[in-house]
Amino acid sequence: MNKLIIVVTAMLFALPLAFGQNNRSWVASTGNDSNACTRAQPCATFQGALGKTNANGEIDVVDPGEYGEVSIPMPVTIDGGGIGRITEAPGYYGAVQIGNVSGPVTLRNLSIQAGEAGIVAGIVSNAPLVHIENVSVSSFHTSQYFVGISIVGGTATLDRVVVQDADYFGIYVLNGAVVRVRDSIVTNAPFGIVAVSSTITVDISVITNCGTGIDAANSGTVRLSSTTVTDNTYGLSLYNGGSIISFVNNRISGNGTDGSPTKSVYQR
Amino acid sequence: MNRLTIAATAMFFALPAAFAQNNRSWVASTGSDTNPCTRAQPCATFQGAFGKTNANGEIDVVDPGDYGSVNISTAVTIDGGGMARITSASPNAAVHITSSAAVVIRNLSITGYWGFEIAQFFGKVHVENVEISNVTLGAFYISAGGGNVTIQGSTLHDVTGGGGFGLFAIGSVTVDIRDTTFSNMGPGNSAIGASFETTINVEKSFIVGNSFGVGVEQGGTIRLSDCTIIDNQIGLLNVGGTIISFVNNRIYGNGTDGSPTKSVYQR
Repeated sequence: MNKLIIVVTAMLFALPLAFGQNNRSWVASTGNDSNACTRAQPCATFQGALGKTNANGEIDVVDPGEYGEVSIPMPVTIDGGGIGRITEAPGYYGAVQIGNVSGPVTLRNLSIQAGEAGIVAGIVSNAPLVHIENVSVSSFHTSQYFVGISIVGGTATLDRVVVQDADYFGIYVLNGAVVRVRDSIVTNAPFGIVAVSSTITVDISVITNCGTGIDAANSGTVRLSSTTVTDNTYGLSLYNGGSIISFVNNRISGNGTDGSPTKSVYQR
Repeated sequence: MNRLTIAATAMFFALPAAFAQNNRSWVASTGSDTNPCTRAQPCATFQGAFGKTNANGEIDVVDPGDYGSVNISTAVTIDGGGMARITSASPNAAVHITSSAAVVIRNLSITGYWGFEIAQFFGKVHVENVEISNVTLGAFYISAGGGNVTIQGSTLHDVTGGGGFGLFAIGSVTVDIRDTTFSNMGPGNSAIGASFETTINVEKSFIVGNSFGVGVEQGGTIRLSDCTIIDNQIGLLNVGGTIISFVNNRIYGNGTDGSPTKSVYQR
């Protein structure tokens, strides 16, 4: 092989690494973030893969593994395939932090575990549009102020989400956010689901074993449908002009104090 | 090795590719469409595997990967096992079904240009646990004469293109949707739309944050049971069709809620 061929060959192999951005990137337990994050050459972390993924692209998981905290600065889908896990290291604000990005962000089929003291949240979003599907967030009570999922403004859909053992709020929604929660469970938190100056719709879900199950505060609104609120110290709670609208199809019973909806809207 | 042996060997290897058809075929991220699509020698794409699968057979997935758009013309099951993804490129749908026999698609995710194009006659299509997101054109376009389509346990969101649609059906087909979420499905269009001669039954589904939640045109019928329809610009949009409610739906908090044309009480 002469020198020219060697140089051309080197350039050929160098190109994907130098310029390649994937519409679909991959991470694997045996991956390396200096790879191109393709299916054949996967990366090691979600953050590493994110840097090699186009906006509106997707990051997928090859095999079960620990793929690390991630800060999301662009619209993207991260699909853990039921085998991707994130355990937080100390000092992170949130295991998944979603910035004010220009398009939809989707997290699905992931588990998030707060493993260390000083952690603040499982998922924190400032984005206009977020979808969280089949995601489990849990804590081992190592942090005094752990929040499972915090939606700070924008619109979010939470579908088949489990939030357990949060040390402060399970699902915390503020800043005028519009959030819809469906087919989800919040258990073992001082506050289960809290709407502050925001609107949350909760459908076919269970909120149990919390200090306060549902709290609507500062003109926040919670709409409750087909949901079971039991075994909390306080079932429904209002603070400073909050409202709770019931579609008269909920089970609110067996709490220390059940509380009452502020309005009933009949199904039709 | 003499020439005869070489020729015989070549024929031996060529045979499976030429003639073998599997009842169960396999695809893998390291597969090749020149393989026979067996578990030991998997193919690379759903389309490659489809060509080597008997009618009424099944295509399964070895490991996570991108397995490409597929045109389906005979009865088959494609089971992505939660690991398969399809990125469709314009102008194609990820799954294009023209089979008049049963087709089952389950446990996979779709993104790109377009989800399903179902153009069968008198056929049956069953879609289970499919995630369609960030598509430009739409999630489901069903244009069928006879037959039925069922969609169960699926999540559909973010149809982004101008004029994009969620699920749109036209023709004498029945569509049954259960336990499925529709959100942000197409600017200026319905998340679920029924046109001429189509009936869509929607059960226990979540229709939130769309331009229009459910829409019917003349000759189209939608029946709603146990659905939550909120935060849409218009909840129920009726342009000369029929919307039947079983009086167990939450239709609230939309810009305009709209009304069913008929209420049928549970009994």
